[in-house]
Amino acid sequence: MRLTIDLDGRERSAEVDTRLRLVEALRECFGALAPKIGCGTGDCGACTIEQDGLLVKSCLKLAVAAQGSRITTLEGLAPRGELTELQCAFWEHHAFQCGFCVSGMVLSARELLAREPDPSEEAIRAALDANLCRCTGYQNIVAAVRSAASARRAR
Amino acid sequence: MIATPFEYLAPESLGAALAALAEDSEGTAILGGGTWLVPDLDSGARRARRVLDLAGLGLNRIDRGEDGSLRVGAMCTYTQLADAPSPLLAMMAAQITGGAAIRNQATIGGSLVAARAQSDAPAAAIAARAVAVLASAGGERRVGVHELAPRRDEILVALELPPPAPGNGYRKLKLGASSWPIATAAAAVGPDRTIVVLGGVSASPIRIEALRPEELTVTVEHPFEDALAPAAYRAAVAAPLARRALEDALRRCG
Repeated sequence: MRLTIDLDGRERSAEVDTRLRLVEALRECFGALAPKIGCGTGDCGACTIEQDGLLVKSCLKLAVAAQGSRITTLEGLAPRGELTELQCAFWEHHAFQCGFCVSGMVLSARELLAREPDPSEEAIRAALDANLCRCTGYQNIVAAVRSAASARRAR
Repeated sequence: MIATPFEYLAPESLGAALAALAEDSEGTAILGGGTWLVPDLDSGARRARRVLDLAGLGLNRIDRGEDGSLRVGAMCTYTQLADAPSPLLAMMAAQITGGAAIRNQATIGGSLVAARAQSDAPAAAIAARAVAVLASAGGERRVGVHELAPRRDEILVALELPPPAPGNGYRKLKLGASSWPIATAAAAVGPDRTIVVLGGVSASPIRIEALRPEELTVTVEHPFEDALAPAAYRAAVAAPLARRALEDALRRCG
């Protein structure tokens, strides 16, 4: 069927098979490669996107059910290639190794900072507890989120 | 990609959904938040000729009666429940593993219908004395959540909760931040009734009509077992967890 969505600020349309999960359709039919296919069971968070303003795991959704929705992936955060403050903090703190989890990590951290501008260490860890880093680079990721929060407060 | 082709139906009214379900109830999978069904369809654990999406039915409302009773739509997410005026459902929802994304997606109705041993929702809903409202083309019926076993032609549309007990406690044991629970205990203490319900330790929740914490004993006859904890571990942690939840509830009672 024809699926039309707002993807990272642009209206996009593609033919999708009913059997595709949303993450598969985003990657294969729309070329949005930031969300990754990890566990496929909602545990690892690599497929995390924002849909209609809410953080969701796109491996747990049918693509056809996303008709008309507004989707933001990691690529939508820096449409002109200028990294956001949060992304810069990830860069500066070397908060990724292989990079597989980074899309989900950044989106989950962004959701936290929108909700809680001055999060405690515990809140940062809780907000990221559904995003697995297989390189176990958690310390630097938490440091990046902490630093992005203080940079924001300093402004 | 899901291996078997299916027809995707997204009705816009409960009547249309029930009529569609009645046409092929055996071959239809009902889609709530998708957190159980979509992985099951993908792995082939579940096959369906039709997938019936409940998203368009408006089953995501929480209505509070004047007496403090609550009607919770089956499609309410944990994010919604975390702010709901039901202490037990709110405490349970706030502690769901899977982060903001799962709390935004997973629904209370889906968890109760899936009725997995390790799920958080059933025990808390039973302790809150929730009644399930089931609809089919033939009409509506109500059953306590502890007896919930929907027929294939039925849709769970809502939960009805009496006014909350004055004292409530909820404890969850998990050994890793991103882990499923090993055990949960939900306690409600009121003037006429005290109940503790254990989740995660056996195939279905264990209800203990109690008592005082020091009198509380638990026998888990057929403990649930998974990669996180063996049966003996679950059987051993059940009573202490139940006791702690009950102590919390009593303390909040004043």
